[in-house]
Amino acid sequence: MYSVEEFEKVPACHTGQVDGYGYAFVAGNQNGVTLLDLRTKLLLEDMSHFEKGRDEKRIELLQAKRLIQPKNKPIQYKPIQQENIKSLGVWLHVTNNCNLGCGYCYIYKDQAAMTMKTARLFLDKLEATIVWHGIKYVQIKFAGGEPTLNKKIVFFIAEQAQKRFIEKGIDVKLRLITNGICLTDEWVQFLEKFSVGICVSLDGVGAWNDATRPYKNGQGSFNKIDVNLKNLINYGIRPGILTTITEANIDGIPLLTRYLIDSNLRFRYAMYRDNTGGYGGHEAFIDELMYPLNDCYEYYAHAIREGRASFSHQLADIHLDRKAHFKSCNVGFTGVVVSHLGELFFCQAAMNRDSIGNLSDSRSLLEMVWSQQTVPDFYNELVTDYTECAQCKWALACGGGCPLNNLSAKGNTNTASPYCRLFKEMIPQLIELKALQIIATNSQPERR
Amino acid sequence: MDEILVLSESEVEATISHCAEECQGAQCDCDCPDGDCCTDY
Repeated sequence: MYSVEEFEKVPACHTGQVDGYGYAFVAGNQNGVTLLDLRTKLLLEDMSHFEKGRDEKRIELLQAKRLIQPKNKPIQYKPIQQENIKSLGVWLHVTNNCNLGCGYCYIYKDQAAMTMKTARLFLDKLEATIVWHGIKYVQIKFAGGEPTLNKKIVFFIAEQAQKRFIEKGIDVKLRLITNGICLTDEWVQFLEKFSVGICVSLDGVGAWNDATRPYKNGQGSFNKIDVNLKNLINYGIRPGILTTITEANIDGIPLLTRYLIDSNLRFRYAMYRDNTGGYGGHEAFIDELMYPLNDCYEYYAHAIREGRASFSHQLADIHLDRKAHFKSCNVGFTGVVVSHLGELFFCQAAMNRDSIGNLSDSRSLLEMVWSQQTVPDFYNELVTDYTECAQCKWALACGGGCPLNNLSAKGNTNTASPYCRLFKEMIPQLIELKALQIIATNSQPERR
Repeated sequence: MDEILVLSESEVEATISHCAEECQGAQCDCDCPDGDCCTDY
């Protein structure tokens, strides 16, 4: 029989209260956000309220959810070791061509595109990597440039992935990262046939989008994207929307928020990496971001309460899933970028740097990633080792932020994000939205 | 007797999307709600 004095709240546990419920969240905890009755929340926050004969079950449940821990045995989250990796993410840059002329694009584009020979080399290398490392889960993101401009290769790889991997029991997920301009019915049928997930870039409604995402001739792209998004929705396909917030479209974000939430689309808001000119610039930009993001989450809360939308949103590098993120993304670990020419890169935003290998190399894709020297010693430190992050309760949620963003703003990958202050401000709001979603989904939750 | 509520999103089907269990967490990025991350500029 335990004694309540043996337990304490997990130090990284965040608690809050909304609409008559309590909630708790620990970054890295596999249970995610947990909804609580108010007495359980009170007990979690201050165990001195424990009453014998009344609260034993609460203590059991809080321990089972890993929200409290034995004082002599704190809960620890550990990163996966290389030898245990069973997943691989491939950013497949199928073309260097694009039909838009977005000013902030980090790709140095031309007309070149992946050939059938390179596509076959890629599939062979992927198969060898799967066999060599016992990979069970693969995600291939068709990207570029604009991947729909190389339809022949995208369709070919999808068909081959089905035959060579999926039919043999490998879980291969395909995703199309597109600007949404060329989404004809043929593409819609392709998405359905191969269960391809789709993410469409959209920076605003009307002129707000067109300010940053015009055609090469300067004409706006919004009207075309809007028609194609509605077509996707009519087919029952729910695209994810990827938005880059810059100083050019920030005032249009409230309008976009309403467009996305009213359409019940999942979306990610991210901030442009380099337009703010170093760390000081980021601080000023954070101040500007507060209003549109606070407005977004306020509007989202209303929509969830009214049952008009379900929460499906990500802000930048913040991961409020049920995993511990020791880095903000899979770059340099389980992720690889393959260019249209068959060169491998550390990150899609680092394709202007030295390649880390190529498809003709005798090493597997993962071996090339693990020996990369684009950012030497990148994986010697995890977010829990960073001086600025080690004691932060959100460390395993943001992983320290985008390492390349950190490098350009602060001269070091292994440090807190230049958007750290924004993350700390917004994470509690995002957690509360998840709590609201649980309340809405379970309007009459099971009482235990 | 008090009513006790301790309900996690992991128990709420279809509340919030999440990735395949095979991803094994850690540095994996494939479980973002929008199905994608690291596509920012």
